[in-house]
Amino acid sequence: MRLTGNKIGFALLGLAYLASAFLIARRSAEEVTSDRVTIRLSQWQLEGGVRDAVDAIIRRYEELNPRVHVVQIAVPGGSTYLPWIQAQMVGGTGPDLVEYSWPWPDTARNFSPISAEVMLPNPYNRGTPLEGVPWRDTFIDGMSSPDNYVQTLSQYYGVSMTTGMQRIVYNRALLQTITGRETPPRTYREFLALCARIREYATANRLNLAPLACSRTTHINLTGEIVNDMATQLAARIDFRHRLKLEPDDLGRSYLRGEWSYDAPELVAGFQALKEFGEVCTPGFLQRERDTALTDFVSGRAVMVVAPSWEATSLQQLCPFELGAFRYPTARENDPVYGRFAKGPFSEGQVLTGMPFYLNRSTPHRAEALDFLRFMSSQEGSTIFTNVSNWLPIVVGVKPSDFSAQFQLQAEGYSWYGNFLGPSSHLEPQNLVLSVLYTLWSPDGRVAVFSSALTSGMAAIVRDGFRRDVISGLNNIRREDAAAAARAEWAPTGRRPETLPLMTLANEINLYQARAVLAHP
Amino acid sequence: MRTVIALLVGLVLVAPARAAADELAAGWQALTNFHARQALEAFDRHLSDANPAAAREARFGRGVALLDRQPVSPAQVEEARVLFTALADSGADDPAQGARFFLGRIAQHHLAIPDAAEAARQFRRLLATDENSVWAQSALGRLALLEIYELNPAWTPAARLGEAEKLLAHAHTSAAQSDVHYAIADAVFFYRLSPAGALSHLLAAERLGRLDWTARAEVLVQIAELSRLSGNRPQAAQFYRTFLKENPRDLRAYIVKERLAEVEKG
Repeated sequence: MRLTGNKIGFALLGLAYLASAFLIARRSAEEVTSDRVTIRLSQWQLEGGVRDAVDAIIRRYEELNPRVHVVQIAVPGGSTYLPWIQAQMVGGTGPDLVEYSWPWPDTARNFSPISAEVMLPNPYNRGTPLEGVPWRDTFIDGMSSPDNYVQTLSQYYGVSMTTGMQRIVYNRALLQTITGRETPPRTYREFLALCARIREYATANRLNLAPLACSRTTHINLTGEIVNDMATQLAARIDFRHRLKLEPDDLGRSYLRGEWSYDAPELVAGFQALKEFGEVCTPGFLQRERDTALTDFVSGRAVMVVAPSWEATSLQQLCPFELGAFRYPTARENDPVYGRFAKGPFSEGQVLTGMPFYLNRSTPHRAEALDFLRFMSSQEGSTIFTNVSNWLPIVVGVKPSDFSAQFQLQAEGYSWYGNFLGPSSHLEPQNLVLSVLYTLWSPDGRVAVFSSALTSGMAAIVRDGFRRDVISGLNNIRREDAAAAARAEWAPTGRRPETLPLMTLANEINLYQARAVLAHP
Repeated sequence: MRTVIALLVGLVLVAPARAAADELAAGWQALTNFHARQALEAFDRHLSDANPAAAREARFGRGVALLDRQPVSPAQVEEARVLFTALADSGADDPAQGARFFLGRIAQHHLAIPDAAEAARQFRRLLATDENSVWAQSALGRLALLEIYELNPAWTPAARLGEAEKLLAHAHTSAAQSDVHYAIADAVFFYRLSPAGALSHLLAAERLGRLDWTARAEVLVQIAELSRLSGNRPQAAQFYRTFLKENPRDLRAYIVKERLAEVEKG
């Protein structure tokens, strides 16, 4: 028989088919003949070290629980992960544990709340100072982040693994060369003086050197912080609900009711401070990407860079020089220009945790999946995660690495939660801000023009957001009404609740208040 | 022999009833998991059950499932409304009251243009039938919202809140009382009325112990703040302390500690 290309091709195809069939059959046979349970976990954090960290947690867990096998499925984020996970859930093949996020659709349909479980101690914390502490309270934020406690559903859903915070990272050697010292500035005026000194040095030595490398994405959180730190007294004045806190919706509603505006003296001062921040950043940073800012810094074209904590490991690997990090020093009470607006110390806001895992409502291995989740978020699991990934831990008592410790959130101080540059809980107000920042940061930018650009566009955008809130609020209420009636009817005789477990009244109130504000411009 | 025959007859009579109960329960269970189609199949098998009670429950279940079967169309909502109307107007049993509750909810939240007056009318009829039922007690908080935000738009906010306060006389469960108190207190802030008017309602809601975790944290701060502003320092200190004890990691811990020190010094 003569071997032709076609025959070889078909033979290879046949062999591949047989090999696949064998592998599938062997795996199915293993599942049938063994009592070993396999649970699957999907996530989209493909940054260096994170997959290794999850694998390390799995190895340790399987040592402790040989009956359970855990498979990690890493899927690219961006526009890939969400459609992938939605297809899996609809098709009934969703992983047992899913990295998810609260604004995404169908949380209640796809995932099981874990409200009862988080009130019980995590058994994997036995023998640690967290023994006997409710699982919820073993996290530094008490599981109050929106990815953990889903407010629209009034239930706990997600268990997070980490948190992120940004810092100004600096080149110690370059700072020493320019200023004769390695220590970072402690006050706002010292920071401005340092930037001026760097400029002088660059001019004198004919260097292409900027004080601070920045990009169109990395400035965002810092921008909010600079403005909000100037606005604590305004926040206290408009806290009409006496909660010592302004929810994004509170800010949006009071904005539409004309109770504050972008001409408020506190906000004008904040915009001026923001303009000064833009002036020390790399020219044209609003058009540049995050990696361009990192390149500027790594190659010595900037002394400092705005860097989030998840870049910490990469920076350490990339930079041939020693790094330092400090918190951006916003102006305080003794500042000669902004002192009358500043009332500190300023908290960096609520700890917002991330990388949350949700429990598939249809998992056949609920107990095992929950058990693995408990281990992942125990002191031991979190220590493994932090040591391997170098990301910040969120379990009480777990220490970050020395470098990432500089990125830990400083919660102590004033924070009113809401962001004046993003009134309402939608992204569009923030997008408007981003689209008009050039009126502040361009060479001929002015505070008044920026303020006016915000004023002319914000109300319509906030209104649109509230209209969408009303629609989604109605959908939530309708869906939960049916489930609540079913729960009451299904309850054993004599154990019926005294009222139906409907959507919380607070959520229904939001709907009415949004409507009322929309009805009266 | 007679005993055996009696047992057999008993089995013949009881078995179908048991099967209907199990299947209706399975329908409700499916709905708790948002599987409306599966629930409809279970309920539809018993729409004409020989047992009238099972048939009424099945019709009620069908109506509820129709409100959740995706995509929900106006025709589907109308079908549910017709089913509920027939049930509500033909008895006072549990399906009748449940149906009346959903007639109110359809008018309140399912129509393209909500009909607040109709929703309130249905809820009031529910209260008139048996105000102690789970349906009537669940409707009270929602009726309060209609009074506060939708009915009588020409009235002053204070007058609307006055109407809502009258509902407290019908609230016989701690959950319903808590809902009405909370709704009134929040409306005091929303309408920018004197915040002192909210304090008694907040205190009552807190005492009833039915607030969920997030609402409770807010209410503790509100009581402490309003007590401080009205000069009741001991009460302010008590609630600041409770808040800190229950929410040590809350964002507001710093400012609450500062306020606590201020009222304790004072």
